Amino acid sequence: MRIEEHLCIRCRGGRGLCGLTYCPVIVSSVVRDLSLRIGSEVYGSSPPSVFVGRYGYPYVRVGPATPPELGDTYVYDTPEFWLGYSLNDVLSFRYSLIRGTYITTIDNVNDKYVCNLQELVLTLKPVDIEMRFEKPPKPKVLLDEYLPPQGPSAPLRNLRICSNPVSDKRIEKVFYDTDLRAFEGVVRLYRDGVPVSAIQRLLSVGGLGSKNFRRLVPTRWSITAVDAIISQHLRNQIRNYPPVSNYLLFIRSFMDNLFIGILAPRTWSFEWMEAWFPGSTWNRFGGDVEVEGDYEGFRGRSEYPDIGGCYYAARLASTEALLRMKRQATVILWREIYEGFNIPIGVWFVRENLRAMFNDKPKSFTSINEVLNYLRVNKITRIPLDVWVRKSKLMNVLLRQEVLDRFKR
Amino acid sequence: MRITFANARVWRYVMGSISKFVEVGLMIVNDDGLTFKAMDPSRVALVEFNIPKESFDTFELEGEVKVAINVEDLGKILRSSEKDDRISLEVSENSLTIELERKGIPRMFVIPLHTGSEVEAIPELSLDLRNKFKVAGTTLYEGISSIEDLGDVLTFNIGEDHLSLVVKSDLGDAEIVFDKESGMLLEFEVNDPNTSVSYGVEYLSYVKQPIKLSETVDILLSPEMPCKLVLNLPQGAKMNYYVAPRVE
Repeated sequence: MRIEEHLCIRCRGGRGLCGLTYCPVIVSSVVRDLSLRIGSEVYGSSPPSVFVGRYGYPYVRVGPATPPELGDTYVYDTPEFWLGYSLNDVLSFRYSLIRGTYITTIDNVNDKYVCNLQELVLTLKPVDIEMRFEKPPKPKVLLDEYLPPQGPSAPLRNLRICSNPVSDKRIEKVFYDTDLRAFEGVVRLYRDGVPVSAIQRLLSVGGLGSKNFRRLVPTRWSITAVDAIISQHLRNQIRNYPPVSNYLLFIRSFMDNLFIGILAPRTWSFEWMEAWFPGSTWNRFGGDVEVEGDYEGFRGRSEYPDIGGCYYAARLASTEALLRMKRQATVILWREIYEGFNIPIGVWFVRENLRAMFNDKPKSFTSINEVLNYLRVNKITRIPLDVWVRKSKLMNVLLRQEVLDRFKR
Repeated sequence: MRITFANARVWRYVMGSISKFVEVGLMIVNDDGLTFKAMDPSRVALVEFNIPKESFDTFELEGEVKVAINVEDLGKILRSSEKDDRISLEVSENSLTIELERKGIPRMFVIPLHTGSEVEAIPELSLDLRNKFKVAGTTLYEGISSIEDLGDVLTFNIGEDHLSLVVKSDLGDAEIVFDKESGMLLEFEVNDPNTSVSYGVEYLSYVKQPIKLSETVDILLSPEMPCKLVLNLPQGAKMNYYVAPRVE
């Protein structure tokens, strides 16, 4: 996307005149400043943050990350807080995290260096670390559909933990329980109130699972795995509750994204659909709006959804909401992503936005046609509602599928 | 209670298919034989699996037995059964013992009985289905298999002397015609010619395996009504399968 120069002069990062949800000038200057400030070593407070790459699997790049500053940096790697910040702030947090990388095999979880990383993620408070690099990190950033943006990185020569990390008792208990399977470990941590992002970190550094099955898990995969495991556990619980009593409609508009949630009074089934407008992150070069989605029935699904890890992030937010209500429902979620949102930012954006959406008060309707009328009359969606209805499998079921109770004796 | 049936494969295919859309079913054993009823949670499909008393090799019963069973667990156990296996079921106070026996070597499995209220709400249906078509199980199996991946909705078009299965999708339409001339239709009785009725393809795909095993299948239809498939399985076993229609 080309931005006309005069817009930046008039906007100066404050008015969003280019239509993007972040300011490319501010964000790139953060990265440039960083490259000037860091040499071959960095000393700072890690939020804590660790990263495990997926390229070359089962040989993976693994390493900690820290900004070159001391203090409370916890928010830098805690997506649960990021909706309270502007996208510029979030990108600045992320780009200031400098990563040291080290190549090892996925089963090398008892390696001294990996043990240091495990020690880092046992705590939920920043830890002072010192990293010496083979060469100064290049001011290059990593953007990914699944991962939060990542800052500059360089091969690590030496890692030293400088402060004394105080382990979180809940995490420590699961970490040292080498008979506990990873699934159960994830669920226990979640039940104990450990943030999802912290569970994802622990899983990625091989901190979960029974002793002989612990592995380093690429961060991208661990994020999806934790979302999938927790939402599967919650789904099994909510399927025992009665259905919601009305059709509930949730709407949230945030940073050039529109989220719509419809809860229908039927048994559990779930659908997540996205409409990418031309110029948005994953439809940069297209001329039409691209609508994609995936769904599951009451029994769930065994295949990985084509639409990717955001499916499980959305499912997690939905099952959490239903568990709070002590109800089950057929959940239909639609997301429209507009032109200004053209940066891959990670699935946390979906998870946290949907959590926020389900915290709002819904509108209640007695039929699915009333829900669709409301959306149509108020012109909530930018693509024609008929496109959503036509593409949505579960909406088709709600509108067209009869039930056998109508034919009871 | 202890009952023995000579063909475990029938159980394997039937329970394997039911377990795709149902978690818990109700098993009733009385002087007439065995009935297994289950309904999917979205209340679109209902299945009744019947075996008359005469079809069992052993039928020892003291009063009616009515127990809820986790179909998924039962289906997993039956996956290990083969063609020449015999199956015996024994119900105790809170468990079901399944014995699979081949060449005199028994394998025993015990699963707990389900203690929930889900199965109490299985309705009795009242249907007046005025059109009946009889086809071979393998014919219907091939028909469903060849078009199931093309779309989500399967429409039965009722002709005066034939039945056609149509699936429409963005890619195009697919149609299979069952008629007497081709030998695909064994018998028919039509009272509502030139009408049609649609169902979700997935619900018919669920029962493909027992359809394949059936000697014949009766397809009972009426416009805007559920369909009823009667699967005439080996050894006198029968499976009635109902699917609610879609309004297109």
